[in-house]
Amino acid sequence: MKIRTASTGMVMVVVLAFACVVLPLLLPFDPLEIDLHHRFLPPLSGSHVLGTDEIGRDTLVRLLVGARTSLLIGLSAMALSTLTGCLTGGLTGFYGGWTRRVLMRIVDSVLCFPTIFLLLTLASFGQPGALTIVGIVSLVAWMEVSRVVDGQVRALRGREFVVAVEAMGASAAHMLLRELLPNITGAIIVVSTLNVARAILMEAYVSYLGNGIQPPQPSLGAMLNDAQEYLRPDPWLAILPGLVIAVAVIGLNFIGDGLRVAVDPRQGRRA
Amino acid sequence: MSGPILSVRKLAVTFAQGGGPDIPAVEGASFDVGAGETVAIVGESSSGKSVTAMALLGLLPAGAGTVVSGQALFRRDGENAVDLLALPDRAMRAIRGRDISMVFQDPMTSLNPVLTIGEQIAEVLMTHDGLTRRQAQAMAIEMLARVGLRDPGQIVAHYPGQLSGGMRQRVMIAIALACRPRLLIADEPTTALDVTVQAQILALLRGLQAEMGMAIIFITHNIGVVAQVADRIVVMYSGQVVENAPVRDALDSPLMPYSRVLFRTVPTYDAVLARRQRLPTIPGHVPDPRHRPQGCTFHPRCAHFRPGVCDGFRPSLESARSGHEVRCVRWEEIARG
Repeated sequence: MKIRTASTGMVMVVVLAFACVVLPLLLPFDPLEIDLHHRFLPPLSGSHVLGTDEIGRDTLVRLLVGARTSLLIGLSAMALSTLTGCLTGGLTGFYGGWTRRVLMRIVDSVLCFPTIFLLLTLASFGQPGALTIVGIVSLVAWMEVSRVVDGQVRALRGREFVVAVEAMGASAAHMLLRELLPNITGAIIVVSTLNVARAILMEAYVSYLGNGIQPPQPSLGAMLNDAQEYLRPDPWLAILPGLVIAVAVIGLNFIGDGLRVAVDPRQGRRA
Repeated sequence: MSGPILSVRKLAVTFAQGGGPDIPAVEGASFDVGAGETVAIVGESSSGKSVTAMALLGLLPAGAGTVVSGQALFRRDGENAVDLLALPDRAMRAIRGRDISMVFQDPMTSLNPVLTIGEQIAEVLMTHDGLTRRQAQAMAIEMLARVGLRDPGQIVAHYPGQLSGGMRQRVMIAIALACRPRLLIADEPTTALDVTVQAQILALLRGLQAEMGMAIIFITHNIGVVAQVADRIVVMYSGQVVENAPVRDALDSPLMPYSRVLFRTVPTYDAVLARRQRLPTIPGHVPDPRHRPQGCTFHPRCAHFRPGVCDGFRPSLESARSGHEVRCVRWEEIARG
């Protein structure tokens, strides 16, 4: 059952990613091309498969390019937060003591803030743009990775094989990177997959509120915002970007959940 | 033999507990290990034998109130002796695995489950001998062949889960001996194995010792094993060395009452079959390290206990004969019978 969920998620994400990368090259429209003669075309009208927006830009191309940006931001933010999380969690789990006390309290205190407010506060400080979003999303997403890595490393630290490599003269860095981390890649992959989904959602929040990707560059969040004014007459302008976000996030969550069971079968049975 | 390669003097290890009294795990242990010699450290659980080994390699968990004192002079090839207990971290790391190696009790848990056998052997060689990965892999195959594994070329690509316990212990030995250490510490290396496999591993260790000439500290509670491998026996009881003698001397005429009963608890076919009697046991328990008895720590369990003599002061380790030390006030009387 769980395997099927994971595969479904995989298909959703792969199809979306493939479409984002390939289709914009094949479609005859530019995402920024304005055509005031063809505004608010409904879906399936002529060559504009998903219609056009309030200034006549092709919705499909804008959706795909927006989703591509979202996925890229999601992946980069995941990479950055995984790196930060592994580093901090690895150190705290390995050394314990004061290192752990200090770093984990930092984790706790960052977790205390409601994510959205923290996100918006940080966003208002930076120059809006893709890189800034990656930065701030990682800043609010690394703590979970850190906690997971910390717990796993602590559980493994006392195991005999770790003491054995220490007895063979291994350095701390070697023990952490070569011996411990390979043992917990499963757990890290699970958290990271779920983090991609969260990062995509966060990007949508920030862009929706105007602090993210700046117009005229397409972004799913900004498209939702633009569509608000025309919700009554032209609901598809809001429904379509919402749908794309949902597909990406649900797909990634399916993958993450499926992998979680694969990594830790006990959790699956309990659930 | 030109003097010992390891001289342990007054080694003491104390674990402080949060709130509770300190736990003296090892109290002033002293012994020597000659080059190429096998010294067996025997004793019951919690006698301090494993802690002694871990302390020598600096592997006791740091902080947490662990206090190690004393001296352990280790002589590397043609160099001045270094005190293992006083070495800085970096120097200690350079010694571990290269000059002094360790084989652990349970081969099922002492290999990393997600790295191949080849990687785990190569790692040591790359750390200490500065080999490239390719050289180290080749050397790993050679080591696997030396510890008697068939198809070493295939086994390097295996993961620990694909090997049996005996095979894994051979792999552990290959890792430990990869850099040709001068001293191998084997902490109950056969305890977790089948009896037949035990014999093979012991034979392997003896063969490799003859070939490579390293000294071995063999920690065990199995007296039968001791007779097979050791040159010298160090008997530990509640954190102290109570007898230290050449193996024949110790087994034939143990002087300390504890060793006398300990060696008698070994079942032999003759005794068990002929008389159908129960195996001899030592009455009582090893004392709680937090509340060790006054005087000789063995006196509450000793058949030769003499009030006023044994429970007054702690006896010191005295030399009975050449090379035979014993910690008992009454050893002369007891030996006379």
